[in-house]
Amino acid sequence: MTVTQQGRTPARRASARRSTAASLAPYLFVLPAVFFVAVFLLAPMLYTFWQSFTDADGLRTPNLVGLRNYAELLTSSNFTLSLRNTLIWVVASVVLPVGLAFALALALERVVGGNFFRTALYLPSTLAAAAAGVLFSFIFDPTSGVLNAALGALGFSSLSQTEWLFRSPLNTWSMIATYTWQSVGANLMIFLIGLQSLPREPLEAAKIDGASGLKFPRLITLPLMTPYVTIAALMAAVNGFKVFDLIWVMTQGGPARSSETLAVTMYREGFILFHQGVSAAIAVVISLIALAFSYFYLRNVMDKESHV
Amino acid sequence: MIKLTKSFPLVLTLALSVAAAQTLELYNDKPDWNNNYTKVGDLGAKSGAGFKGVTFADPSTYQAAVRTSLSTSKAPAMFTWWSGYRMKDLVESGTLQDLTPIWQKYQKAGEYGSDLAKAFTFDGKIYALPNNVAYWAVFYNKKAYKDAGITPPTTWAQLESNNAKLKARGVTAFGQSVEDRWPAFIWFEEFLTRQDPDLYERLMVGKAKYTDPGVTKVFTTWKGWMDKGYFTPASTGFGSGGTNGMAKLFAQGKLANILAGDWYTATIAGTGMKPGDDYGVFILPTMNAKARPVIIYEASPLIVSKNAANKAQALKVADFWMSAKAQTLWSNLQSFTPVNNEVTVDNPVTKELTSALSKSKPRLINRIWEATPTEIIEPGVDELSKFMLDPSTQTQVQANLQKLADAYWSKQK
Repeated sequence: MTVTQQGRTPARRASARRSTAASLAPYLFVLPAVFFVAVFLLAPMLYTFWQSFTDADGLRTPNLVGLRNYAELLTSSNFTLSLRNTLIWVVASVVLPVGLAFALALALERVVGGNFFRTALYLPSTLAAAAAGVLFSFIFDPTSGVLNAALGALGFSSLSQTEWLFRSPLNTWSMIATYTWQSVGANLMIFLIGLQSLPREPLEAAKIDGASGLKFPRLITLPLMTPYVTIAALMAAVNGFKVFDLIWVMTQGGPARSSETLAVTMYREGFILFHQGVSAAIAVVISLIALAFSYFYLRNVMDKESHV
Repeated sequence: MIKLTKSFPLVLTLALSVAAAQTLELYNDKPDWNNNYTKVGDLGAKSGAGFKGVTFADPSTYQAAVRTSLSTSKAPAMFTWWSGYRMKDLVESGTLQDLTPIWQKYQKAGEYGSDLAKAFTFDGKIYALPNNVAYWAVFYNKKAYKDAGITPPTTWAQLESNNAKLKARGVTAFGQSVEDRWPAFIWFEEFLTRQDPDLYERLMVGKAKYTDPGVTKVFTTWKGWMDKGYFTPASTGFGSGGTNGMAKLFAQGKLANILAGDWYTATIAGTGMKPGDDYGVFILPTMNAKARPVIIYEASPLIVSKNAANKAQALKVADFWMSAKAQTLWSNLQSFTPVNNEVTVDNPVTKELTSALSKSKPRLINRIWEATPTEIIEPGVDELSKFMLDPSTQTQVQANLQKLADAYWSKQK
């Protein structure tokens, strides 16, 4: 009996050890990721949140100022203008690069030489936004830019002096056009992959049933592509909230702050005026808006999908 | 072999320490000047005061990097900055090294005048060396002047007459720009200092208002010049951050004058124009012919961090930087107006400006970017841009500028 008990105990212990090790293993695997997320994402987020209640200026020890930074934002006309421009960017970033990419994906499936166009349309996506900004700054230059020169050569002399980046809201739309040129390729790839992976049967059945013209993409392709459209639109919207580099390179949010978005205002407050408390408050506002938007958007889309 | 292996880390450490001591880093936000900093540093290395330039392409990233490191031992040993209110902030944080003893040594030797250090002096202590002192003058295209039959003006009336003659020939008299934001302040300060320099000085320190009649008159003159077509469109690139459309127009003879700091000669040189042959320089006259000439200057400081790990080496470099040897190379490489009295430069336009300065002995007035608080002029340039793009906003712009000034000065009282 004693021998049996003694024999069982180490076996049980070994089994318990294996079971503990087995249950710990997944945690160990995710630990590095958790560590990096905690150190490089959560900690800066919490620090930014705390900083938004201080008068931090990057030089002296910050003092707590309560909600003063948030109150300053709400009463600032520049903040209102930034918020308006940000919303324009978000809507345009979804409608133009995603909408255009979807239309192009449908078209490229049917045209001869589709591969060439796919490559040509994807190439701008490989450029950094700052590089695209510099390139288009030269194109939009009112005195020596290619665009005005081309307009003049084509006989649109009244448009050949246009100050694309110096008049509001034209400057915002010019930058959105640049952004569209640059980001349409990435969305196009998402949609082309989506189109290729669609089940053939419902498409062929729809064709046999007489679906043609615009009815086919609207009633058949689009519903089947919903997961891809959802992801592309969500990513585009979040990028619209965050857009900074392109604007900074092309107009620095000017002239007269007319093309500033929340991200640019945040940068100006934090790194030019060194109002780092105000800058952190703007960062919190951007994050909250993007978070709320993503939550409601995804919930809405998921609800629709579950009904389907 | 064993001995070598064992002693290798020690040798490497020593070698790196020596290298670190010789290659002190001078932080700057001036990519176009960086190679020349290193050239001066190479000259200094011969006397144990070597350094190399480390540049940042974006001034705001640069400011953030320097400010956040100043209170730590990672602070850059030496770095360029801006004088006036932009420097005051750093001085008050107690992170800058007092450089008064170095100045006293060179002032005693007669190499530097007493005025120059004023831009870097706070509570009687001098916290920076002159990185450069730029004078804001008018660069003129000699061929455009010859074709229009005009000469550099000595009075405001002659200046206006020149503008009209240039305009009649289809040549734009002056360039103006809102590109890169800050150039929007250039003509505001130029008109105001030529009209009433005392009002300018009072406005900078909150003792006058942006809505005062004198300031309104400045905007009226400015608008008048725009209406008469004496200025390029405000969208013309100045060349400091984006395209250099203005310098190109100047080289093509479509633009007769550019008013800028003397560092702009490097931008003009980029168009292939030869200083002295193709373009010359003059000081913008005052509106009152009997008044003392006035010129805007921009003093750019070179600072030593108090907390830098290699401060002793930085002080050695600082001493070398002030010497005639270092300044001769620096001023000639950059075509800057010399700040050391023993230095001469070869660039004929710089010579012409130096001679004009010593002949007319103008009243030196600090540039608005440094002379007034950052919290006013940073958003202020956006207001001035608004006016330049749409002069009908004048009243609103003046009111907004005063609102910015009120917000700042009310906190100081």
